[in-house]
Amino acid sequence: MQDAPADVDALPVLVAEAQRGNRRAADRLVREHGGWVRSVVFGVVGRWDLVDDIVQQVWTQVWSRLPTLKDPQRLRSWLCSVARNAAIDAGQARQRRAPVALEPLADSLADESGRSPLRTALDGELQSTLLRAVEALPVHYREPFVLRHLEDWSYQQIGEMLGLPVETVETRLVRARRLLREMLKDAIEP
Amino acid sequence: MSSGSEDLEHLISRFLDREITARERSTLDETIRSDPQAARLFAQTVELDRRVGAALRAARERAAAPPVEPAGAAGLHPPEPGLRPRRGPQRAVAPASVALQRHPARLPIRWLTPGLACVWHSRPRLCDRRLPMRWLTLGLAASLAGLFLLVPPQRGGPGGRSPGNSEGVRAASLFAPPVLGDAYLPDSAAAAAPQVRLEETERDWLVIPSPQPGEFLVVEVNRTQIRRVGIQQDF
Repeated sequence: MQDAPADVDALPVLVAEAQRGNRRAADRLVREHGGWVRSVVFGVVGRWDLVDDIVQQVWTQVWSRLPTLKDPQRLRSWLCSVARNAAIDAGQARQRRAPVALEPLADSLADESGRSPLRTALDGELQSTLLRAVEALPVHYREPFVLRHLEDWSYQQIGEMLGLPVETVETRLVRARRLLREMLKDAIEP
Repeated sequence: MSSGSEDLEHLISRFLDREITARERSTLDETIRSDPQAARLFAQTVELDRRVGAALRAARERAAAPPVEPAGAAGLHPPEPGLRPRRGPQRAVAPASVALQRHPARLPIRWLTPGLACVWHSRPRLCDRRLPMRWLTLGLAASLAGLFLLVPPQRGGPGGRSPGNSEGVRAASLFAPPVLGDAYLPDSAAAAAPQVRLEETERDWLVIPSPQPGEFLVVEVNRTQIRRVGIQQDF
């Protein structure tokens, strides 16, 4: 798993130092875990413009609750839980969760000139088209899909972080890819 | 969707996630070779997954904040014990979080009355003692509110008591109607009783406009008697 401390035995020491207010230990925690925390938050909210603020809230909560962490070995799952809860609260506040669009994304992606999404994609807006499709995924499909692509985690690692069985992670990835294929079938040509 | 195509999707997904076993890989290769539709599904899924993954990683790179120096990232680190939080130039702080960096006492002070603004402008003397400004502000606001509520201004109707007013002069706060005294107008047979419906109100008085201009109807809730009143001042 990426961003994991090279020395697992040092993790309890690192956490203990951070709990005591050691600035260097806190910096190291942020450096080692900040990347995947952002990915977890993005997996929930689906928009990068919301991630920074939510991550700020996450770390604020982490520092206030870190003394309550009794088992330092559970730091990653604990961090993931804090990040997901903060992102879910922010998402509920904004009520930005989009329904699943099984019909082609074409209708919503056509610009004012009425061009098809394929034409739009050919004009260099493919990335925004793809990102909007990811944003349109249901959150329980988007989370494992984003973690798989951004953090290169295995099914087991994703399952441990999200509290899901491996089979469920695999099924949700299959369905995420199926939904994306339905939404973008005119935009992507093999 | 048929179980066969769903199995194929699972195989393709496991292939993309590098979770596929050797036996599953040979099954997948055989299926792709023998079924053109399966081959097309495989190619579509692989291409889509590649492009979406690349788009996600590129978006992450664009959205990633610059590296935060430990000394400049207030809010990302716990405050050192015994030290006040730094207020130097901040880096890598999202715009919405900048508001959290502001001094908490500045914002509300400027919205208060000029009297309190004078207190603010004289703050060098107060700040010498390092008084918490927000508590001083709250205390002053509470004192002013108490003055309004506990020491109501004395108001009386013109000409003293009205013989028909058995209640006498009564002090009222700013939130209750004034003492009416002689302001009561003689009852008019032409005046129609207003159709007022009250439901679970704790008010003692209601003031509603009368059909006559410049007149208001003062309705005492716990009584059925209604009188028309001419009010010369705005309360």
